[in-house]
Amino acid sequence: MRVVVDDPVTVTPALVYWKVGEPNAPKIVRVTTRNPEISLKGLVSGNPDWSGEIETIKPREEFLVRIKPRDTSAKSGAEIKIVTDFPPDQPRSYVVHGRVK
Amino acid sequence: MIRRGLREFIIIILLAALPAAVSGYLQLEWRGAPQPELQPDEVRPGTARMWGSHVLWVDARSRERYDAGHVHGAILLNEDHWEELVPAFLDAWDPEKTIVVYCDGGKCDASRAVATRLRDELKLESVYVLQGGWTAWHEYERTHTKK
Repeated sequence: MRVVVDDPVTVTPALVYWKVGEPNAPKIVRVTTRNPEISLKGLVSGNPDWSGEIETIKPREEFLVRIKPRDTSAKSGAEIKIVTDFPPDQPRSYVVHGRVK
Repeated sequence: MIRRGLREFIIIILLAALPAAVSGYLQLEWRGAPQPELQPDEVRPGTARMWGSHVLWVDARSRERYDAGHVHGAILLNEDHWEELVPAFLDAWDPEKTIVVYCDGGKCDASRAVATRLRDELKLESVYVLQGGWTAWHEYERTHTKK
């Protein structure tokens, strides 16, 4: 039997990608929460050549995460963790995958 | 005179039916046995085989089942180890390729669940489920591969 627990955080899309040679303009991931106790604390990139920033649209409700690779001249990839502040003792994080293909 | 006319009529009917029979054999893999109705997101083994190298195969079964045998070049991606397996899948993924997901076959739901997550979470398009799964693929290969 599989039990499905509804996640209060939605991250969409979970994949952003660029084609090789495409301008490395940031791509946007939308994060929404249905629990006012949850906010975003930061990003952790698994690849130093990939970065991102968080913009709060509505505090504790809606955020935009802008992700981009340093360059798109060759194939690359990164897993970027969006770290929340909830639950306080063991904050959850959500992964966004980035690829240059 | 009547016999000759009848013979010509039969020849014309046979000639007219020939292209339809050939088309049915090639495209629908007609072997006499009825095939299950194809859902909009499903693909039959013969069609997937025809797509050739334009397919990225995804095996939605357990690692044990995958290790025991899988479609050549298939990437393991199942719901139980989703987060851990997605990076390797994305490394192999090519936006130009069509994704075909399979599980054991019969009534297994794993391929449909993985296909749904690929579409909903990663927003990938062109994702299909292999009708009949691994069982159907294995059977297709057995009957269509010349020894």
